[in-house]
Amino acid sequence: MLKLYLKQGWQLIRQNKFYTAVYILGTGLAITMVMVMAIVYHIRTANIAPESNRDRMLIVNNGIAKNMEWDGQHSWNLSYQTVKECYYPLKTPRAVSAGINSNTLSYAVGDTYTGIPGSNDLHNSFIYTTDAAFFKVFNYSFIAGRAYTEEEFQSGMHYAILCESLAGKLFKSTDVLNKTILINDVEFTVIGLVKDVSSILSNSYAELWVPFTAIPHIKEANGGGGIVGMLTTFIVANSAADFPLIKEEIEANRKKYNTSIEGWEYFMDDNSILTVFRSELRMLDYRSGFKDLIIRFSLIAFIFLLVPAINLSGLTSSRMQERISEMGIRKAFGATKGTLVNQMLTENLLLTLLGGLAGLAASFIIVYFMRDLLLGGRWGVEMEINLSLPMLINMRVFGYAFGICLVLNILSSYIPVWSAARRPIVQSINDK
Amino acid sequence: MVKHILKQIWNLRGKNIWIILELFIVFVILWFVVDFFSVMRLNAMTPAGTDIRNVHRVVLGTYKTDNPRFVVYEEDSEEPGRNFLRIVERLRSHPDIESVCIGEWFYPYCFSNSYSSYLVDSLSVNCRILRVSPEYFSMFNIRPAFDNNPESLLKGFSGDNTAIISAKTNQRFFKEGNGTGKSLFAKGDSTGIYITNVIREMKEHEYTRPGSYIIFPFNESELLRKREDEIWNSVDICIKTKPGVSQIDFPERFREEMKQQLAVGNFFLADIRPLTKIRETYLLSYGITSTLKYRIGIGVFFLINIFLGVLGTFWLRIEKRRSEIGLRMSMGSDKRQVMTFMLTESLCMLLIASFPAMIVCLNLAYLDVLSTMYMDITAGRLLINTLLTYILLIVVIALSVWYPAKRSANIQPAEALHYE
Repeated sequence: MLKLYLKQGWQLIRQNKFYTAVYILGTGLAITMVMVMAIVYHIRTANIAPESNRDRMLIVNNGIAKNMEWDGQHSWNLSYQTVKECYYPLKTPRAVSAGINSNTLSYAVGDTYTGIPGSNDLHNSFIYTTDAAFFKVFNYSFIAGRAYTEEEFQSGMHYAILCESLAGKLFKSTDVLNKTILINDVEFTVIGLVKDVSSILSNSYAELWVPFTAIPHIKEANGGGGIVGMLTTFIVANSAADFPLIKEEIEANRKKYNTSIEGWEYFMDDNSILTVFRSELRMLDYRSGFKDLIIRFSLIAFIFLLVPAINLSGLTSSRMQERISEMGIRKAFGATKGTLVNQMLTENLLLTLLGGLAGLAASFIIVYFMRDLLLGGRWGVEMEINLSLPMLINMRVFGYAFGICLVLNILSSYIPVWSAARRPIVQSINDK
Repeated sequence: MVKHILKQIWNLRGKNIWIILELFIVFVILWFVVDFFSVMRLNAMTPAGTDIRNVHRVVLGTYKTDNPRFVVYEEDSEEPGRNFLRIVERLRSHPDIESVCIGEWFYPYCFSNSYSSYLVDSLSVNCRILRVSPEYFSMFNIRPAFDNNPESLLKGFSGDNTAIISAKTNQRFFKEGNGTGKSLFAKGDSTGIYITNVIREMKEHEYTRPGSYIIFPFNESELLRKREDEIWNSVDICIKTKPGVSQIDFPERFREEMKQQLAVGNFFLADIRPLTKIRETYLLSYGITSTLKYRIGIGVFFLINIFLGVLGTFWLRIEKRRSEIGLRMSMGSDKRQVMTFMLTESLCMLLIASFPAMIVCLNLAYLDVLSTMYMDITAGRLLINTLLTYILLIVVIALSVWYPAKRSANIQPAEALHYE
């Protein structure tokens, strides 16, 4: 039966080229817009290496220190002391790590320039200063060498891990292990080489990684009674189900920690501990509540579908007019309303899927060419935005596209088809 | 004719309802998109108040304790401040440079800022604070609000308790009056601050409304009391090149030339950044550039939808209405009349859709959905939005009706009547 419907649908497509073209264009347009949103959402929140733990990760980026005496507050990230007291001791998570990216670091020590001894070439590089657990939280793919160990981190060893492209820029070769580089004129030894990370992955992107204990001032850079500083903390749970447990544990640590500080209180609000999804929403808009934001973006996606759907409804409704007599005859021979509605919807789905395919292709093109606008601009610095094929072409993205096609098909054809199928037989047959 | 058309739209309401519904929704959305652009455009028409041509920011870096070149100074040494002033002196004596200005978070499009409340009687206004050396006014071509002599700005502008305010601050404190010669107070401080002059409106960036500024003279001797990292954190240097100095490779040239001379104590020259570049980054990172592109995209998307919708509807309808058109033509309508008829019909539908749409728009505006961050809601703003929305939609509808109408007008009456 389905085969017959599709065959008939195909014939109609071939007979009525103009209608088909307009319909596919309309569908394609709608799907393009929504798919661009869906792809950006996918790239921002799906598990993509090295950020392969996004679905079970919590990010603590926001530190607030409240002053008890003059009723004021300091907002920044977290200090090393706070991380040590409240986050490192956590027992439920699989791993806890803290780090400072180049953007935050530049407020304390300025931009980072790398070079090699004996050369005047300096490169303004994106650095990430981290602890040792950072390489358990993010799965960088090592080409050679290794990450620094906990002991090396604790003793502030001047070790650095480079990404392939920076290694190429500095040494013109990938044989870099145990060589010396200069980071702002200070010597560091290269102990690891990793594959380049796309700057889209804003939590893990960098060109080089060093222990933050190796940079002076960072451990001491703090404010608000030593509560706030520059560190961002990443917590990887065994599964997302552990999140409430981890939050409870943090809350207990926070209370204990507050008894040890005089005059200040480490304060938390809704923005303190965020999942990857919420932290991405926060980047889009730091003022509105999460519920409002979710509603707002769903509404935008819905309107992107609704307007073309109304458009297509008009087309379908005109089209039904032509087939009223056919439907009348089918009904006269015993077809039920349900059968007719089913057939028409299936026929339309064929068109919608064709439009969906075109729309998906168009959205890939748009995401690719507008990647700077859609995925960049996170750190306020200009950098290459690299998209890899698996980020775009994968089952989840196809799934989104198919789902959207179904919704659009129902939205656009259900009412006109239903009202056409409902008409009395006599009237339908007579319609000429 | 319009009455006749309206009757016909009503008779074909089953099919017309879709296109009218779509026009209704798109009208509302476009109205808001247009509002964003018109507010931006209107704001951009008033100047930002600062002229950043030929101005560059001198970015300094400092050596840290782990650097082999690090120089250790005593706890309250004046040397870091002196080193900083040496750098400023060397910049001033460079032949390509017209003027050098130092201050705290003062240059336009600066990412850091500081605000505080000031009082006149019981009236409190939150002002952005700029601390600048006197070169500031000529460097950015800033002019007084009440007279035309830029030199008058420097008169009396020195010492701790003098300040220049911007026209917006003046208006909020003194309404139409001129605040020059009057005093204001910092919150919680009883020492009066003497207003030496008022400058014209200034804005954070082109696309916003004028802000309230208060400008204090920058005290160079303060520098001697500050630690190295405090100076690095808060004090900025801007330079303006002389007219005729090529801007194209100035930063690279200057950096190469001055690298050695500007490495003093723990300070070294890290970068020379043109303010035009800083402005771009500023607009980019505050989402102004990207919002612009997003809204253009959304606007175009809905207009194409309308185009397809109207085109498709009229095209299909013409196939159905051949007999009607043939009848019209045989009754004496010529091609032009048929086209005018179809155009008028579609515009009538726009008109029908726009009434409820306008009610929704005005209600949403009334309910504060319209952003007042950059501009207050005025009758003029609403009127401009409405007019522009109509014009956009009329153009798109005319475009999409034109081809099907032409096609139908080309039908021979005899052939068309045959369908009857």
